Amino acid sequence: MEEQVGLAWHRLVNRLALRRYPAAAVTLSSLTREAGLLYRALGGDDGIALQAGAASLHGAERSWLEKLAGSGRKADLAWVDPQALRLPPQIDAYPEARLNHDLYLWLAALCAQDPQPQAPWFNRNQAAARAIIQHFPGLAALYQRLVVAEIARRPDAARMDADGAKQERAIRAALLCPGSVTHLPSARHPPHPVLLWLRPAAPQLAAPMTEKPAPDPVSGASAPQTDAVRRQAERAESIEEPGGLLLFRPESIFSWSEYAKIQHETRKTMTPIWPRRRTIWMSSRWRAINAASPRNCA
Amino acid sequence: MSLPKEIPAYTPNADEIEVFQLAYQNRLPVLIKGPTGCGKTRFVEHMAARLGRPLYTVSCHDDLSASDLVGRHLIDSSGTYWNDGPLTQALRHGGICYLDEVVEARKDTTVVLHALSDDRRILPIDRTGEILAAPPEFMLVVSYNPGYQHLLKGLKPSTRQRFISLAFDFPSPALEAEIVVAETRIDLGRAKQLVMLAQALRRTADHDLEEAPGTRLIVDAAKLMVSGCRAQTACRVAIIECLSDDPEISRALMVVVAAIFAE
Repeated sequence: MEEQVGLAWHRLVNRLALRRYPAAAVTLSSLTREAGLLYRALGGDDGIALQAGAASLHGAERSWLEKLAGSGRKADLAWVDPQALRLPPQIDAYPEARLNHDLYLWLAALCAQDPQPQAPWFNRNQAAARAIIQHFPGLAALYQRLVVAEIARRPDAARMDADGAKQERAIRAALLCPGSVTHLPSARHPPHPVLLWLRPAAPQLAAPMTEKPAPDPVSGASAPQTDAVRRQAERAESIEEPGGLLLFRPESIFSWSEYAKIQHETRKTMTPIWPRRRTIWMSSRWRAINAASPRNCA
Repeated sequence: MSLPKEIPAYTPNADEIEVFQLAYQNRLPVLIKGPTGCGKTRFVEHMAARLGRPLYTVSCHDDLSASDLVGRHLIDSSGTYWNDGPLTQALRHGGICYLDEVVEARKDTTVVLHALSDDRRILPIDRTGEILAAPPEFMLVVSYNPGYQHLLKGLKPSTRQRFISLAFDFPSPALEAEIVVAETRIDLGRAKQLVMLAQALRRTADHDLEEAPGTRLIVDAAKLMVSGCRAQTACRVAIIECLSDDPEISRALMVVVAAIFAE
């Protein structure tokens, strides 16, 4: 009963906190060819693959409903690394499927046209958007539609604190007119994710795996990754030092019971299950221990 | 055979005109290689008109044999008579014989080409017993697309080393836009957009397309646009549908068109 109530509450609060439109969702698999070809046509590296990237923690301020539901912590953003162009596995941020579809194309174009890859995140994305708008009129019209939808999706600056509102207004101005804002004001929380921009920092690539993954203790086989999403994982060296936390071998604890000072009077009246010689040895041993130190029987 | 009336327009990319003229003066055959639609045939037409020589163009194919080039006996009401092929006619009239896509022709044409392309410059006609010596005005020009060569179709080194070779490629974006404007009278702005589209599609040639779009395609699209066709429609029918039969690829290519031409 408690589980069902909990499940119902979980569904309710998540539905209330949901800021997505599953009915208008567009998946990456449905336009892999289009996005990849557009990326290469606009100057992207033709030697890398197109793959889905994992969502990342953004740390921005969330609504109280999202805090209650425990959702809204992560955002699906795009980035490029030496191995692949990483796009969200699914986009359902806008109420129209066409906008979600256009966002994929915009992100592919943004990854291809990146004139200032070393610039700060705020300036880099504005420069890339500006370059695309100037050279590709068709994408300029697409960008305008996306900007309107993105600004409608973003949190209301009037409900934020002064610093947060100032930061949000700077982002909105940069979206409406790329290149017009050069400095992003700082605030207590990171800015709310901008879906039209690239990820602030691409995850560091781990070194190629040279060892087999650890086998599953139940089946004995390695658990395969069922989806093709790029995970945020890092390789860590296992610390193998002599000693460690345990100062003794745990299996030795069972032999210590032989030396514990407990009353074994009932054992003498019980039918001995050990061989008689062992019983005599145990009895003499107990007599020796008792003779060495006084015993407090319970 | 085409007699030059006016010189066809050709914008040089490098020094190909000077090299061709020097080869003609020294009675050396020329081999032109490059992707489709980059101006190989237009260049030969331009040079033939410039030099004032008649041009005999032969489009080579799988069934083209030496007899098709040299000639054969035909039968009419009066009996059997000898009919010169285009190569023999070019020799007799001192013209320029241009074999387009020579790697497509059958291998027996090599024997004919070898005798004409080295210092002998003769054409033996076994069927009539003639040995024609090429006049000084005669020139042999062949062309092919390096991308079409494979194990079964290709020029042997013994053939390739008999020619002066010119490697053609697509012109620079600025030059290509000028060519499109000169060919079609389209405005420079839309010509630059068409060239930008061609450049974008050429970047996908190794990955998504069998062959990169040539200048010919964007000239055709420009002609349609000058006639009033919508830009995206012109690009679709003159460029995209010529590049691929796969609907998925065509749809993806139209995304690139829509990115450049807003409607």
